[in-house]
Amino acid sequence: MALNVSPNWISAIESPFRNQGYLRFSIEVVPPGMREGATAFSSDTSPLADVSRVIDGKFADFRDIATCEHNRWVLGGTAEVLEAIDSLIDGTNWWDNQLEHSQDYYSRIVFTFAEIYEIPGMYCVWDTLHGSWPTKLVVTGYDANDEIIQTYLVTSIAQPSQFIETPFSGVKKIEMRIEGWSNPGWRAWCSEIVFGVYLNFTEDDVYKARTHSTVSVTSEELPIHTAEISLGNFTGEFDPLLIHGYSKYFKAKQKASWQWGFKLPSGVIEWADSQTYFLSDVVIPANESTFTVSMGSRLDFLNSEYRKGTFTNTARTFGDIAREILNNSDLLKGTTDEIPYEISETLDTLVTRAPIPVMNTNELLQCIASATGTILTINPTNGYIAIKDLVFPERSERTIGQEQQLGDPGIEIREELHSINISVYSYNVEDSATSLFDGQYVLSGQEQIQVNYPTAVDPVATVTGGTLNSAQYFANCAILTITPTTPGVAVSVSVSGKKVISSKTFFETYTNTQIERGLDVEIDNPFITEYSQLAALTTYLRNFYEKRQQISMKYTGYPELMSGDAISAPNKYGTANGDLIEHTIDFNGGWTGTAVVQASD
Amino acid sequence: MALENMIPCVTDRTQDDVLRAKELNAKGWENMTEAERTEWLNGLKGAYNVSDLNRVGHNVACLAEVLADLGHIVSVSPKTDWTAEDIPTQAQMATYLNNVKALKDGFYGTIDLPETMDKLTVEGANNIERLLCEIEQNIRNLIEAWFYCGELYCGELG
Repeated sequence: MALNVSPNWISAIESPFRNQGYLRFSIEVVPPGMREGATAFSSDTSPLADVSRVIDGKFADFRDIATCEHNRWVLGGTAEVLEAIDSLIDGTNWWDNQLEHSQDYYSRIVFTFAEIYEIPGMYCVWDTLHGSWPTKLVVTGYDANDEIIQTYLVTSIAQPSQFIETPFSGVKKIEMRIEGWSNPGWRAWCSEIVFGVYLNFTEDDVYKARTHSTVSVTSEELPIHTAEISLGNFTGEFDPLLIHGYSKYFKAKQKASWQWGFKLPSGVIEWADSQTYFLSDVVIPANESTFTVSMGSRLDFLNSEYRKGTFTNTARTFGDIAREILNNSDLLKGTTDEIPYEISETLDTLVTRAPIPVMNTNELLQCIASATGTILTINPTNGYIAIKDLVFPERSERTIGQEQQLGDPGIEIREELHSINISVYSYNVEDSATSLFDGQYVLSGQEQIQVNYPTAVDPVATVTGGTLNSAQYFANCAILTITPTTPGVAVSVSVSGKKVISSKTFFETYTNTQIERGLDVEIDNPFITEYSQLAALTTYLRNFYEKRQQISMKYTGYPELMSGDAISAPNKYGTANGDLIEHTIDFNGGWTGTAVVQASD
Repeated sequence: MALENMIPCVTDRTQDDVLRAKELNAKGWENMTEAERTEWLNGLKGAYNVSDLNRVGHNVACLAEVLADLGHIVSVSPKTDWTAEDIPTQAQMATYLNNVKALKDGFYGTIDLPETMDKLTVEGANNIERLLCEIEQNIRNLIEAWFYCGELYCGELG
C-alpha cells in the first residue's frame, strides 16, 4: 500500500529533474511495556474526568466545556454546556477538582508500573485547549520498596506540552504534585503523560537512510518492513557506552516514526504519511561521527512460539483464528485497548477444522495467509499487521518508466507452471485418553508453570506432592498454578487427554497439459482442511505463478511506493505489469530506489 | 427594587475580545505584564464569567420586581450566586435564558435571544444583555409616560 501523496507529488517525483527530499525521523524513547502496564490514580480527579486517560497513549484533544473558572469560558462559539456534572464525560482527559494550587493545597497523580523502569524524564501534555500548564510541579520517583529515589521540583514548564527532565532509575511509582498553575483559579488539566522523551531528527541530522519492504504473494516468506538510518553524532551527544544521555534509554521495540518530505515545483514541501517502525538495534561506534538505528515491524517481534491454540474439531473461520492468535500474542501495543492488526473480510468467509499448530506466531499468520490466498503485510503508516487481499483499494498502480530506470533491468524468467498440488489435512481425536505429559518441578512456593504436550483435547492435569490451585488448558499446553506441599521438594505433574491425530492427502488441483515438465508447486499447509476451498486457492496461486518474469531494477526512487503495489515497468523487451514484491529506497538528500517486480509475460 | 439598582449591562463584546482572551489565557499569569494582569483579573470581555452570570441574574430580578410594581407579573427564578467552582448545566442555563425570555414575553422587547447557552458567542452574550437594556429602557419610557388620572386634558400633549 503506497503512502498517501498528492497528484502533484506523483507528477514531480516521476520527473527526470527533481527537487530535494526531506526526512523527519523521531524515536519514542519510552521503555516498551511501561505505559501498557501502568495504572494512574488521583483522588483529586473531577467527577467528569478519568485519570487513566492520561496514559492511554491517545493524545486526545480536550472537549471545550463551559466552566465558571475565571476567563476560561471563552465566547468563541465552541464551549459546550454539559447536561450533567456528576459523572464521567467523554473527552475530558484529566481535570482535578480544585481551583487553588499551592505547596499546601496541591493535586496529585500517582503512576504505578508493573515493573521497574529507567526513564530520562516525562513528556507531558497539559491543557492544550486553552494553553495552560503547571508552573510548579513536584515529581517524586519511588523504587520497588516504595522508597523515594529522587524528588524533582520542576518550575521550567512554559508551554502546554513539554518534556521535563526527571531521570529515574529503577522506578516503580511516580508521584506528580501540581503546586502551581499558569492561570490562577483554574482547574489543572492533563491530556497525556509519556514516560520518556521524543527524539526528533531532520534531514540535517541524517547521514544516510534506507527503507526496505518485501511481500510474498504466496506467503512463502515473512514480509519485511525495515528501515535503517545513520544519524550525526558529531558532538558525541549519543554515548557509545550507553551510559550517559538519551542513548542509555534506547531499547528494542521502541516506536519510531519516519516521514518523507518532497519539495514540489511550487516550492511547497509536501509531507507523505509518516511510517511506523520499531527499534531493533542501535549501534553507536566510538570512533565515528554517526550512529545507526535499525528498525523493523511488529511482525519481527512476534517470534515467540504460540501454544495457546484450542481445538474444537469444528469449522472455524480463519478470521476468528487469526484474531485469537493475535489477541493472545505479545503483539506490540501502544495502549492496552489498541488493536494493531487489520484482517481482510475474506478470512471470515473461509474455514478450517485444524487445530492451531505449534509454531512461531508470525509464521502462524503466514500459514493463514497462505491457506486463504491473501498476503501478510504491514500497514506502513500505523505499523499494524495486515492480512489483506492482494488487490486492495489502497493499492497504488504506478509506472516506473525507462526514464526513471538507472541502467537496464535484470530479468529472470521462471519455469512455466506445470502443476499445483495442495495437501488437505484431516484431524481426528483418539477414543481414549492417554498420557500427554509427565514431569517433576521443584517449587519454592505457589508458582505458575507451563507444561507442553502434543495436540490433544480434554486434557486433565494431576499433581502429586502439591495442590493444583488453578489450570488453564490449551490444545498444546496447560498453564498450571501449583502450591507444593513442602517447598523445595519435587512435585510430580502429569497430564492426560485424548490425542489429536492427523492425516493428509495431496490433490493435484491444476495440471498444464500443454507441457510435460515445468514448475511443480506443492502447498503443504496444516490449516487446509476443506476441499471446497481448493479451487479458489488454486486460481490465486496460478495468477501468481503464471507471472513468470521477475524484473529487478535500480531507478530514481519513489519513496511513497510500498511492496504489494502494482507496477508497470516498460523496458526494451516490452512492458512488465505485475506486483512490486521488493522495494528499497536509499536517501542521502535525494532518493534512489531498487524494485523487484513479479510480472506477467 | 428600583431601576437604579440595575448593574450596567455589557453589550459591546467583539471578536477581538475573544482573541484577546485566548491570547492572555495562553500567555499565563507569570508571563503577563502588570497591566495585563489587571486586565485579566478584572474579567476579560471575550470570556463569560461569574460576574456576567450574576449580573444578568441580578438585572433579571431587578426588572421583574419593577415590572411587578407596574402590574406586570413575570415569573422568574434568577440565580445570583454563581461561583468560580461552578460548572453550569443545560438545565441551569435553560432557566437562565428562560428568565430573560420571560421578561421579554411578559413585557416587551425585540432583540433575539440565543436559543441555547451551548457554544455561546459574543453576539449571543451581547444580545442577552441588550435585551435586558431594551426592557429597562421600555420600562423607563413607560414610567415617564405615566400620568395620574385626570392630570391630562384634551390637546395637552399635542
